[in-house]
Amino acid sequence: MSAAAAVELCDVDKIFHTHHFFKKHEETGKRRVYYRKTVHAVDHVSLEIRPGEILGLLGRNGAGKTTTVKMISGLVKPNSGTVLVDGMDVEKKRLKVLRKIGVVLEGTRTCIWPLTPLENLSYFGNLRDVKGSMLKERSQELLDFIGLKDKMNVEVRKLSRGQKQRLAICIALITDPPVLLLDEPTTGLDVQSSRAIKDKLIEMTRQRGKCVLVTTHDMNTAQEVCDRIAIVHDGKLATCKSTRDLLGLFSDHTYHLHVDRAPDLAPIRALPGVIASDTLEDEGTGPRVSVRFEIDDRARSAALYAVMDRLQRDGVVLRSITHAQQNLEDVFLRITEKSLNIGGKS
Amino acid sequence: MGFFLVLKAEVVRSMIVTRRYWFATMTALLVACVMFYGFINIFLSGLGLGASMAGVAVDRALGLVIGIFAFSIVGMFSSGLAGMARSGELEQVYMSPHGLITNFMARSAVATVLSIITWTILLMFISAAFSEKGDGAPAPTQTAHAEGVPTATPTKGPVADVEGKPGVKSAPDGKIHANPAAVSVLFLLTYFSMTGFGFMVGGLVLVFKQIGQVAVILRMAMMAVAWKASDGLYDLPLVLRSIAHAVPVTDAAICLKLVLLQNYGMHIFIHPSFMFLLLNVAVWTPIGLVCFKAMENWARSRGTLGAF
Repeated sequence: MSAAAAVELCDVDKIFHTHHFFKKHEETGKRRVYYRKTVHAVDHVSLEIRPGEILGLLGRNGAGKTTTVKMISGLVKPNSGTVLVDGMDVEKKRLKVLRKIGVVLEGTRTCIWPLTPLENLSYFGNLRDVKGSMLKERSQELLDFIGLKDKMNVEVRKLSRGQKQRLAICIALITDPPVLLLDEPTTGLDVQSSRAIKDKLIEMTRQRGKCVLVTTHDMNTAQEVCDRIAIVHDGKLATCKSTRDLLGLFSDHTYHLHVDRAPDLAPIRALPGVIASDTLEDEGTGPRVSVRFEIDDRARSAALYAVMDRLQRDGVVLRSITHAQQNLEDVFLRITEKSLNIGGKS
Repeated sequence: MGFFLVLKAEVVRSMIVTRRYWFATMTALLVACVMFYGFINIFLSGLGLGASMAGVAVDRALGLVIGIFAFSIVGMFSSGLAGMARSGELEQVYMSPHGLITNFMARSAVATVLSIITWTILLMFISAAFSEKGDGAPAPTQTAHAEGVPTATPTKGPVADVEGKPGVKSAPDGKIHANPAAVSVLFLLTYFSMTGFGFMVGGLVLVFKQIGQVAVILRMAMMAVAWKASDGLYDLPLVLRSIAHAVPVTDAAICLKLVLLQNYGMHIFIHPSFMFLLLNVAVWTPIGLVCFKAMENWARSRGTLGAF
C-alpha cells in the first residue's frame, strides 16, 4: 500500500460462474440440460487512486469496469487480492469503509422517486449517520452546489434524467466522503447536463480534495476531466497512465505526409519499420499519407527517411509532414485492439 | 444505534409517502374494509350460519388479518426485496454503514407498525359491523369468566370446546377484547418469529431471484394457516401438528385469537401455544439471521446482490 493512495487494488481477481439449464450452449449451439459458463470479469488488476485526483476507468462493455467499482464498494467479493480504501481492507472493515466512500451506480436508480431531492438527502443522510443541523446544512449546500436548489421540493419522478443523476451525486456526497465512485455518470445525458456534471466533478476534486473514480464510455468526458486513465480490456488492466502520457502514447510514431497525389502504398508498407499506412483525401489540402512507424526511435527515423526516398523516386511531391494528433478514442481503440491481438495470439 | 437511525429514516419516509399519497392510502383502506365485509358475509352465508355467528366471523377476520400481517412481513423479504434489487434501492441500502440485517430489521418493524395500525382499524370495523348484526339474534354461546380466566363452555362450530385438550376454550362473542400488555408481547414475539422466517426467505431471494413464486405460495399458505388456526390444532395427528407448530404464524395466530376474542389476558402466557411461539422465535430468529448472512456473502460472491 503506497502511503498516498486513497484507494488501492492489489492483484484483484474476480471470476463469475453462470449456470444454465435447458439452454443452447453459446459455442456449440446444442441444447444442454446443464452447463456452466465462466467469465473472468477482473483479471489480477492492480491500481491506485490518489487523493485529489480523478481516475477514469475505460473499457468496452463487459470489460470489468462496474465489477471493479462494485468490489471497491463491497458489493462484490473478489476471488483473490485486496481492495484497500484509506488503508482499510474492504472485506475486513466493510462498514467502516462505507463511511469513506460515496457511490453512484449506473443509471438513475439511486434516488427514491416519490420523495423530493431534499427528502431524499434527508432519508439517505439519516441512513448514513448524518443528523440534525449538519444534515440540513449539508443538504442545502449540496443542492446549491449541484444546481438543484430550485428543484429541491419537486418530486424526483418529475425531474429530468440529468437532474436525477445530479441528485444521485448529491446523495453520494451527503456524508462528505473522501472517495467518490461514479459508474457512467454521463451516460444518456444531454450536452448541458453532461457538461454540468463534468464541471462539478472537476470543481469537487480541485476544491474539496476528493478522490474520484469515473467509469465511462464517453472519451470526451474522460479526456476532459480525468487526471489519469486506466483502460481495462477483458478484465485485464491494459494501461494506466496520466491523460497527457496516454494521448502522447501513439502520436510520436504516426505521421501525416501531405503530398500532391496519392502514391502506391504497397512499396511503402513493405519498408522495414513501417507498421501501417493509409491514404486519406483532405478537402482543400489534397491527399494525405498517414504512416504509422515502429516505436523505436532509430527504426522510426530510418523508416521515415525510407518513405520520403520512396515518394521522391515515385515522383510524388512532398508538401509537408506533421505529427498525428491522437485523441483518446484513437488511443483507446489502439490499446484495446492491441490487447485483442495479444489475446488472440495467446 | 444503527437500528434506530434506520427506523427513524423509514418512519419519516413512510409518513411522507402516506401523506403525499393520502388519497391512495385512504382508498386502499376503504376498499379493504368493503372487501372484508363482503368476504365475511359470503363466508357466513356459505356455511348457513347467518348473523348468529358473529364470533366465528370475527375469529376468521382476525385470522385473516394475522395472515395478511404474516403475508406482508414475509412479502417484504421476498417480492419487496426483489423489487428493491430491480429498482437499485437494495444496492444503496447495502451501502449504508449499518448492514442489510439492521436495515431490514428496521424496515420490517416500520412495516409491522403500519400494518398493525391499518389492520386494527379494519378489524374494529369488522367487529363493530358483525357485533351489531348479532345483537338481534340469540347468541349460541356465553363467554364465562372466573377470576378473569375464561372457562370452558361446550359449543358447536370452529371454536368448539374439547374436554381434556390443552388450553381453556370458550366461544367468542364477536367483540374484540383489549389486552394491551398481552397483545403487545404477542405481537413482538410474532414480529420476531415472522422476521426470522422472513430473513431466511430473504436470504434465498438475495441469491436466487427467481424463487419469488415459491415465496408467494409460502405466503399464501401462511395466510391460510393463520385464517384457520385454532386450538383445535391439538386434535391433529402428531406429524401434522408438528408441521403446523413449525409454521411461525400458527401459534402466534392461536394466541392472538385467544387473547383478542376469548379474553385470555395474561393467562395466555401459560398456554402451550405461547410456549410454541417462544420456541418459534428461539428457532426461526437465529436460523433466519444466519441464513441471511450466509446468503448475503454468497450473493456478493456471485455478484447478484443488487442485480435482478
